[in-house]
Order: sequence, then structure tokens, then C-alpha cells
Amino acid sequence: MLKEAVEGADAEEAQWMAEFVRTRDRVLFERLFDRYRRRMVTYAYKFVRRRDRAEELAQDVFIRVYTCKTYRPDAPFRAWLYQVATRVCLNEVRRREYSVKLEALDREPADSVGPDGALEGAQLSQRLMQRLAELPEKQRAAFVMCRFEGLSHEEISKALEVSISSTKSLIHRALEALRAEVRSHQEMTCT
Amino acid sequence: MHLTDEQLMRRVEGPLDAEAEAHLKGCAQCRAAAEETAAIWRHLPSELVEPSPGFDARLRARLDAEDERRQAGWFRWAWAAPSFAAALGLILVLATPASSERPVDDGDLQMLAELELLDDLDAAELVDVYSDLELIESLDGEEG
Repeated sequence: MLKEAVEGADAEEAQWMAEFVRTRDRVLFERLFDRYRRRMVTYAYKFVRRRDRAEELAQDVFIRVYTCKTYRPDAPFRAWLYQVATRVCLNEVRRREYSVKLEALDREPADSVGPDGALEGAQLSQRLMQRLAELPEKQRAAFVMCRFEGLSHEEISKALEVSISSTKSLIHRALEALRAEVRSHQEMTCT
Repeated sequence: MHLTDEQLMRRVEGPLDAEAEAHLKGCAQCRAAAEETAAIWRHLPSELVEPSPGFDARLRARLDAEDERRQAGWFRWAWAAPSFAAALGLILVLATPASSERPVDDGDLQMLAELELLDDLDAAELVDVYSDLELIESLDGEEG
């Protein structure tokens, strides 16, 4: 049911995009922008971990969408948009030196103060975010699209321009690295 | 057969089918993996980052700038196209060798014959011919 709804929305968005490219009707672009503005900022944030830079990158993504000259109405929109976003974000992290050390996070987890268990939870949260930031680019991108954006393996493979088996492998390696972080944290807190 | 990543991730949302759940009960390795996966899901914040208040306005300004650039590009092309065509035409006219268009006439043939005659002269005779030419040029200069 959910899958059908997502596919329906995707087809509708693909039509809007194709129609926008043909007519340059900005209303159609605004519909797509409204749906994805927060998602694109969030996605970029997972790469650069700076809100101002994430917003600039998200804007670059929308500018590329806006200036796109050809679009097939049967092309899946969501996978295409994330492909554009992934290119923009990977290009940025390759071009600039981004410290994987997390700066003061924009928002501390809500349970960062209080009982010991909550503090441990906040520490694990920090460690996982740090580990996620340290993952190789494509592993991170694949995991973020899977975990946070709810994209299917097929959509992720299109976005990353790799095979579905490579996509599964990227997600597996990312999960393994994060699970190892959880184990390490548990061992540390148990001793 | 251990649980796949997909099953472990799905289990965070709710129980799997009976067979997978039965395997999970008997397999310590899969249980640990399921608990670790659930911990990752719990502790990695999934909330969306809300764009700052000026985000939409900044993007619209950039879209307007893109539209202006596109229109300016069309204007430049519309202005430049006739000039470009005229320049191209002029270059073609100038680049076309005139001799290829003009038929060879008697004057040309006579000049060629004279040049061939010059080839036949020996060095001493050539000196005489050049001396005559210089004399004619100096006479022309005096007349002018």
C-alpha cells in the first residue's frame, strides 16, 4: 500500500518535471520544491554537517533541476533527484576538506541530560553520527538514502549509478561499521 | 540461514514472519545483530533539518537570476545572429580566389610566354633586361 503510494507520487512528480521542462511553468517547479526542500537540506546536511553549507548545496540541487533541459516523463523522479543531489554533495565533499569531527551539533538529542542511561544514549548517538561521517562517501550515501530517505535498493542504485548488488553491499558494509560502533560502545559502558 | 540486512532493518519496524522470528529465537548471532540494528535506528536522529527562514527567498532570487541569464542569452543571440551571418558571408567572399572565377585571357597567355622567355635567357642577358627595366622606371619617375 505504502509502496503503491510512493510509486504513484513518483509518477506524478515525473509528469510535473517533464511538463515543467516543456513549459517552464514555475508553478510546477514550486510543487516539486515544496515536497523536497526539507529533504534536500537534510540529505546535504548528512554529508557536510553544516546547516549553512547544506542549504547552499540544496539550492544548487534545485538550480540544476530548474535548468534541466530534457526529462523523460517515464524517468523515476525521486531516484533522479537523489542522483543529482548525490553528485552535488559528493562533488562538494571531494573538493573541500570537511572535518569529520562533529562540531557542536545544531541540536543535541533531547535526552542528553538526565539519568545515566539517557546520557549513554546521547553518547552513542554522537558516536554513531561520527562513525557515519567517517564512512566512505558511497557507503554513507547509500545508508542515508536507505535509512533516512526510505529509498528502495533500485532507487539508490540509480541515484548512485551502481548495480543493485553493489548497493546492497554498500549498505551492508555501512551497517557493519555502525554495528561495530554499537558493540564497542556497549563494551565500554559495561566495563 | 541467517537474517539478511533487509530483514534486520524491517524488524526495527515490527515482527517478521513466523519462520524468521523462530530463527531469531534460536540464533544468538542474529539476535545480537537485530539488537544492534535497532540501537542504530534509535540513536541516529532521523528528523528532517528545517531550512532557515530565508532559504526559499534566496532560492527564488537565484531562479530569477537564472531566468534573466537565459533571456539575456536569447537577446544576445538574436542581436548577434545577423551580424555573424554578414561577417561569415564577407569572409567567404574574400576567401574565394578571384582567379578561379576569371577565365584565362590573351594577356595572361602573353605574360606567361614572356616569363618562359626570361627563363631561357642566360645571366648576362638578364642583367641587360633588368638594366632596361630600371632605366624605364627612372624615366617614369622623371615624367611624374
